Amino acid sequence: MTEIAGDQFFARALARARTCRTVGDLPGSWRELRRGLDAPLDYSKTVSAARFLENTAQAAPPQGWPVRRVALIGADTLTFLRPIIRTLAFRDGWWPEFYEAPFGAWRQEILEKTSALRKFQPEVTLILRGWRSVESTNFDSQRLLADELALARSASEGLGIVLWPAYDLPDKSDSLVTALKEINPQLKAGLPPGMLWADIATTQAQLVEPWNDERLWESVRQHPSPVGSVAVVETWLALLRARWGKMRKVLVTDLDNVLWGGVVGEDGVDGVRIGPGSPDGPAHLAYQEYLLESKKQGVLLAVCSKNNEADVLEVFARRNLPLRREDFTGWLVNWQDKAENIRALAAKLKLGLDSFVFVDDQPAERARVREALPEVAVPELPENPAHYVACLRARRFFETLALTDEDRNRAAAYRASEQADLLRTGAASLEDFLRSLEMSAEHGVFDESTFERIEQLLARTNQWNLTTRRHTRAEIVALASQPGVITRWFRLRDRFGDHGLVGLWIARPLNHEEWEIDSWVMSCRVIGRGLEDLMFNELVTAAKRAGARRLRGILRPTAKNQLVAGLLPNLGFTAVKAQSSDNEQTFILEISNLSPRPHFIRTNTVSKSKP
Amino acid sequence: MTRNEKLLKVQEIFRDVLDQPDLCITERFSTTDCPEWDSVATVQIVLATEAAFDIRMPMETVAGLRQVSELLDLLS
Repeated sequence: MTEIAGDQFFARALARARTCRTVGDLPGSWRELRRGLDAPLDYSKTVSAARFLENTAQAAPPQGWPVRRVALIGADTLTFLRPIIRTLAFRDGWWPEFYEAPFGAWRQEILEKTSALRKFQPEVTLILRGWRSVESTNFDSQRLLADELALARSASEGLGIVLWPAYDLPDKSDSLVTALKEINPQLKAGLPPGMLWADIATTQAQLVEPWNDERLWESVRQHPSPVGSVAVVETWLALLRARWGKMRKVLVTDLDNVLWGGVVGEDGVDGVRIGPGSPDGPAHLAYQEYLLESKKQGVLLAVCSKNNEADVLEVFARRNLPLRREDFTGWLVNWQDKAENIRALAAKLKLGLDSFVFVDDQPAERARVREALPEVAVPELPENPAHYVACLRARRFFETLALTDEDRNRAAAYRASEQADLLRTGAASLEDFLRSLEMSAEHGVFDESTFERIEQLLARTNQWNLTTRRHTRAEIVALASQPGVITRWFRLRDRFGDHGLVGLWIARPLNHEEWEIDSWVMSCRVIGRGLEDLMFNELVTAAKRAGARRLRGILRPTAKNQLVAGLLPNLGFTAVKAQSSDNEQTFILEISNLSPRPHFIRTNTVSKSKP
Repeated sequence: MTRNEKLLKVQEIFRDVLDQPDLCITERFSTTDCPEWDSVATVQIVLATEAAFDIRMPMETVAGLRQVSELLDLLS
């Protein structure tokens, strides 16, 4: 499946990286290698890149990159996975510091309180054990399940983010296959809260190439196959990106020879190829279906194409395409520079450039966007359109931890806010504008029906986020039931649509009269609506009801949350000297005689609140 | 292809796998000469050699691969 073009692209980038290293230009060698990793990656490429990385860095990461302690444990030889993790983590912008459990000792390492694994204090624990480690004679699936769930419970403390794997399957179909297939869902359901499920069985099922490699297993105990190992690591890293709120959110696509075969400006509206009846038509159809499926999972779609807009609109109107014009949140059909187009779209959607994926069949356009916007992911597309979808799927750009209603309706919510933006330019004043939106909000305390969305909002909100504390599901559940802790989620609607659950705060008592704002988060698509004022009023009311006289606000500045840098002073908070050594600012506000802040949002339903 | 031509082709693979662009290997070159030639590198060398020569090598022999001459023997 790997094509020569991608191989050459990678080989040239690695050669340039080596040249940079030879002349002592380390940043240059990181940059060149990272670009090379946009090629479709196989086992050999990832291992070559890893060796380059380790030789070049001599185990020291590129300056300023986050270093994370990663434990690698499991039943089979894991040495082969390490270089793949090194390379793909580098592509994702972080640097693992590894601990590898001794071969075959992973259970003891988890269970013993003083094991080397526990002393390492991993921030991430990656586990791999597959069907080859299962004793197939006298196989007792209930016992296997019970043992493993006990082990998982023990692993849920002190091992950081734990990725528990599904069982993969042997090729031959026998009773073991049936049993393992039954165990997987039970295992997933029984995992302790907060532990992530690495669905290796699905990874295996999606792989076109062989997963099981008897030759490498018999000789060097490598399992799964080289290509399977890369897929496993991609699965892991996608989960970590989702957990860290680093998943991509927008797919920007070219049109000619990508969304359809041919060039509409030359071949005409009826000449472009899609679907059966031409050699490349089915490939472009499959690509559109992939886009549609991604959109249903919450990915925003955008077109970026150098074309006459009228031609393009006519293709959408007259040709029978799976995608409609309305499926695209961003519409950039013009003759301007694509990098500038994408930059403008990011500003409009209020999303960081690191949320974007750019798909274009022209190497020059890809090179331009890579050069101008290094944060944007620009996969090096295979030359054959039939391989586009596999190439994109392999990267798992948009993986989320769990799908929520907000994901499914995201495109609709953005359309609503786009219409609101249009209205804004027509409205005389901001007040008139806000009034004309006819906004209404709903709020309530965290409960079973909202935990999932709350975890997700905490995980993926980077900009309007005071503390960027990424609480896990388990922590959220614990907080919600802790005496004295007050929690609220907020939903916003306006006359264009429902934005869903878009904001929350958590406040906890420090003593009998002071409550600290643990988290305060708002989705960026409702920025500028005054929802924060409503949220703040509700916070003051609830805190007073709980007995508070003072609120303590914390600001933890990040590269992305400048938006809220001035929030607390604007609300009347006073800065106090920070006690903690790290980069935190503390603010205090007396709330006994505070009057509510004005806003233009009706509160129609108030869900039941704790006293 | 003569044995020496094969050696030169294999040398390219070793340079790439071991990330040593100036490496010169002889038939005697072995794991003791190069600490980076570990089990991961062996598998990688075998996979790359198989692709470059369009052959498939018996893995049980390969698992014990320690010296360039042994690899060249497998290619004849």
